[in-house]
Amino acid sequence: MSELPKPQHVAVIGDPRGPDAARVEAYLRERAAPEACWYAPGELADLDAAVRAGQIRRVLLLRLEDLLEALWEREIELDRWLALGVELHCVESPPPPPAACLAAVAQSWQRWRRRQRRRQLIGGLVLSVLALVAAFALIWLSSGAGAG
Amino acid sequence: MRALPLLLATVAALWCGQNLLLRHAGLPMRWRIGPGDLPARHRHANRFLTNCILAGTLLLYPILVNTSPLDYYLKLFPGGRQPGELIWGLAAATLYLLALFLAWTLSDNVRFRARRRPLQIARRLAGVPLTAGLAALLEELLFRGVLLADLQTTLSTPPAVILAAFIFAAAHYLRPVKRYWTFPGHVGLGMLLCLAFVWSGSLWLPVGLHAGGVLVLMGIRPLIRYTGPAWLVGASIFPYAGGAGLIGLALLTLNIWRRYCGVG
Repeated sequence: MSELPKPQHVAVIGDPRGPDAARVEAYLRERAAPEACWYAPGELADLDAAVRAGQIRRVLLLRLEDLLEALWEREIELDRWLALGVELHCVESPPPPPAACLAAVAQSWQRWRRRQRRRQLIGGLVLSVLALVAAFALIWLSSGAGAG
Repeated sequence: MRALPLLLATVAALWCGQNLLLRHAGLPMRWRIGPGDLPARHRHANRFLTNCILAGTLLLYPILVNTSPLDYYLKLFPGGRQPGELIWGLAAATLYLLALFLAWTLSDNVRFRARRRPLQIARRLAGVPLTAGLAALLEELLFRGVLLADLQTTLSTPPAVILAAFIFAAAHYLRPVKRYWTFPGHVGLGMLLCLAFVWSGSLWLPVGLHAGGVLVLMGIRPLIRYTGPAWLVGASIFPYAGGAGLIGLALLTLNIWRRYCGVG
């Protein structure tokens, strides 16, 4: 059980009014850090920015799944967090894997994302053109001149 | 040309009102327009004041051109077949936006993911139709019904449309905003709405287009996340500011041209 640092350096991923908030608060109280910043799941872009700005040094999660979901949803850049030395704590077990293991997952995820981004871009371009042509043609064919 | 000085006076009045409220709340004066850190009570007062000033502007302009406000605005909404153009505009804007969102969802450039709890989303969505209708009506009365109509009395149509579109776009940046790269998208939207007003000769079509756009964007916003590049799909409530959106605005403008001015 490690002691958490100054409140402004601790972030919690969770809903402060959610059903698990009391357990997280108890965990924080035990470690003398009762005033951590809360970031709701699904709104972690702000947390990512705060971490990258050096404002957050430790992140507390209820369960590991919250972190992984934020990673899959592209809300956080975990490899940047680990490079900055951010420590991760879980209220529930299992605890986060060692930083080296998480870094390997994050790097593999980044490589996959780069490949996926290319497919996404090509698919987006092609389907956008088709969607615009379809909408344009539908309206063009259904409206004669001088309708007004 | 009376609308332009009137709009500048409106901005000055908004600024004065905001700073009076800031002073009342014991906060320092601010050069930019925007509620910023005003306390909730003052924020409500600021919103009320803003609406009063905008309503005052809309009432004052017809009086400045020696017409009764009722006569002036009734002329902008003629009867006959014209009210149907509101539905046409609403449907056309909705079709374009939904087609793009469908394409972006299929290509994983947009992902459906609720940003809030279901009850919060339902509450937010319930207010969207009214907000869309009122926002579209207010902006169309102000920027097309007053500004563009007035500019057309002193300028020929092309410069009047361009100037009105730029003023419409600039007005969206009076308050501090998260992103400024959306400006060309606002200009494109302004051009579309101005040309819709000029070619259709009434406010029915621009109000329909505008309301359809706001309805889709505000309705879909709490349910999606943009995951594709902003230059292609835009961001937040600004999908029309990305490359595909700008082309969509141009194509919809072409559709409207064909409907009102095209041959065949």
